[in-house]
Amino acid sequence: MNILTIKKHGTFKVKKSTKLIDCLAKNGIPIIATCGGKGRCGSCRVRIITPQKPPAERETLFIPQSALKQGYRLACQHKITHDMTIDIPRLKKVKFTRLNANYGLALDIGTTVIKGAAVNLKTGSAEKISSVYNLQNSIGGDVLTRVGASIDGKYDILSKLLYSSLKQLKNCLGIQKPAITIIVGNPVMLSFYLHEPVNGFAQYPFTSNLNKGIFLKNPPRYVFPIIGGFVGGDTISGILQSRMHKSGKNSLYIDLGTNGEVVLIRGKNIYAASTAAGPAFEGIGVTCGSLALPGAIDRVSYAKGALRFHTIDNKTPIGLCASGLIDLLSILLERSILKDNGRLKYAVPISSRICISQNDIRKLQLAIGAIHSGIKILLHHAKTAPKNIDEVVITGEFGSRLDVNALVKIGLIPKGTKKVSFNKDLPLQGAVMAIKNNNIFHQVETIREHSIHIDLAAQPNFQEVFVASLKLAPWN
Amino acid sequence: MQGVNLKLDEIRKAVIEMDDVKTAQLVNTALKQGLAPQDILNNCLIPGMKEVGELFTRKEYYVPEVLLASEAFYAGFNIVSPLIKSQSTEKKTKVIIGVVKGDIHDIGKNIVKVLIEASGYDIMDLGKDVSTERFIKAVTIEKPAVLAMSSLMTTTLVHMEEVIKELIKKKMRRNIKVIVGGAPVNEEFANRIGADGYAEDAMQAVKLIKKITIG
Ligand code: B1M
Repeated sequence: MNILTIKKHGTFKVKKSTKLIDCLAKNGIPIIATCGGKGRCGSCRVRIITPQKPPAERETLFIPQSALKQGYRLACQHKITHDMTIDIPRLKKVKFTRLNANYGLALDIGTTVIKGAAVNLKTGSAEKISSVYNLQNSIGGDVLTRVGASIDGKYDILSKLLYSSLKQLKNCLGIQKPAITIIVGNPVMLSFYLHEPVNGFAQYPFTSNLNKGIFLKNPPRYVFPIIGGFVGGDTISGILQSRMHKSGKNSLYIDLGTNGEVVLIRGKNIYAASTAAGPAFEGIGVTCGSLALPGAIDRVSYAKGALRFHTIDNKTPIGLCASGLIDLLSILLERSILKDNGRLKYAVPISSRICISQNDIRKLQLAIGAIHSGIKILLHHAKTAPKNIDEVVITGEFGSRLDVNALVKIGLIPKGTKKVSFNKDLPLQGAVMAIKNNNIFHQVETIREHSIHIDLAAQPNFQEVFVASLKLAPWN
Repeated sequence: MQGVNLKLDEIRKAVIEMDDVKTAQLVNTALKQGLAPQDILNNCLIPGMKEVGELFTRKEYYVPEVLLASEAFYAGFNIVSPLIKSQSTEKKTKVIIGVVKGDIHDIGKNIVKVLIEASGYDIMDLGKDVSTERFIKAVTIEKPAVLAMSSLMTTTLVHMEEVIKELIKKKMRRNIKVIVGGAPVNEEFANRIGADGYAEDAMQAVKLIKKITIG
């Protein structure tokens, strides 16, 4: 045990070698960490008064020299090894200019980050959008770990952490008592929100009772239903916003996140699956990867014998986000530095600090293969073929824009699709739309009723399809 | 003599090159030339698959290549193995493998299984989502030297410990070695639940089994 003293907050007993950011989260002290505490965004800045230690290389990427000298460090990069005294820079005060009665709140509760929008009820527009670190991260980075922790008696703590995060988010948005709140999210997050048990998510066959949308009073709220298994209300909301369910066309919806939801709409039927792609496209587990944050390489091109990079906000490169990784894979394939079986000729340097390795490629290959095989299996269930897909919509945290040719080249989407569009925040936007539009709930229920959850785990030929899908090559 | 050696090496290469048709052809030719089936297995097929395992460890080969190479291996193995069984009395070490309850991720387990079998062990595969009772029942009936459990999800790891506890309760623990693996498993976890070892990948699993079953 060590003592952690936080100025103006008090002293706390903490377990040795706990990460500082986790101590803060556990004790309910608000701290923002948009990347989920992975040393990739620089937002969890605190001032360490004692003990003084030289900064890690990572920290010098995000904190200017002058601030480093004053002791500013990243809370996610420090473990408690001795007693520690710190100071937390005050969060910028938000002026409560918003009249609560005139505002609605749209929430997308994600595992890593919770997003919210303050929606003007008169105009229907989202006037402010913010996001906060889901404080549950201190217990575990992924939903399953949190489900496991709940079974071990930590349900109440997790529930508290979720509500503290939501409070923080409301503060950021300057909206305390919204007239209405619309909530979307994955099934596990929605269960925590509703104080429903999560034990059913620990193992096969993953059951819950959120199959209908829920209206709550005091304060007035609506929680989206889930589709089934790990396909949640965020997916319904994304479909709603994309309007694919109304277009009468054959369309494909892909969420490029950890869960990797894929949805195929054919006629009235909505086939949905979660492909368990893993967090590679969020830059996690890939040494050269990064979330789509300032400094992330979001575009890669090849000209005059050299790779060229563009970073978000033109900052020093910290790693590649999904759009950059996809560009890079496609260029390496084109230049035959990468073979379609995933064999990389040599580790390719990106900057003085970063390179893409064989192991990185293997991780990405699993994620691409997971989504590819999910699409193939949905096509099979819907008894249709890639050439009949009129439109593909991709959402997720991928960076700036995705290159359609690159997506086809690496085999993430089938070739020959007529139209492909990208939109970063479809689930949140769907929730915003629900605030403006009162008869939307009917549409939500209709989407839910027409949805068919395809359990990939129950497909007898999954391994065969998946292994074939690991090939980084165009398919149809 | 040199010609014979060449053939042996070609068989090994055909496995590494994932060519099942060629492997089968070469094995048949070698048998016709009078080579002992045991030698073909021990000196060509097994070393070939072993090298595939090493390539996989180095990430040069990946899941598809290992599975294709294993088809080549089995194309040869299925020819020589009936010939060997009828002559040899030597008993192979028995290993039981399975994915624990609640988890259906079995691709990694399938690869581990192939490499264990290709290294000359007698392997029995219980499949995926295997309940603790099934593991215990299989151990009771089959009396293997090693029990290998795989899990890919953090929430299903508990079942590994459950199986070990049950083995202790049934007084069966002393007669068997238990090894565990899968992406969320590590050395520390293996020690904590009282397993005899942890392997990071398929090739490590083979080496581990070899190590703990000696003597
Ligand atoms: C005994 O000795 C030993 C020794 C070594 C051993 C060993 C035993 N066992 C393994 N090893 C070792 O050797 C092997 C070879 O070197 C290695 O095996 P691996 O299995 O590690 O490696 C394989 C060769 C390749 N790897 C894989 O095959 C796993 C790949 C990923 C993409 C994956 C897949 C393919 C699938 N999945 Co799932 N899936 C993910 C994976 C994410 C990722 N990107 O890694 C993972 C494992 N899945 C996960 C989840 C959550 C799920 N999945 C689910 C479903 C599926 C599919 C059906 C779609 C499919 C599995 C099909 C199948 N038949 O196996 C669900 C659960 C189903 C269930 N009941 O089990 C579902 C719950 C969620 C969902 N969205 O539906 C995550 C687990 C997270 C956690 N905290 O535990 C996950 C990491 C993805 C993520 N979200 O990050 C070593 O670990």
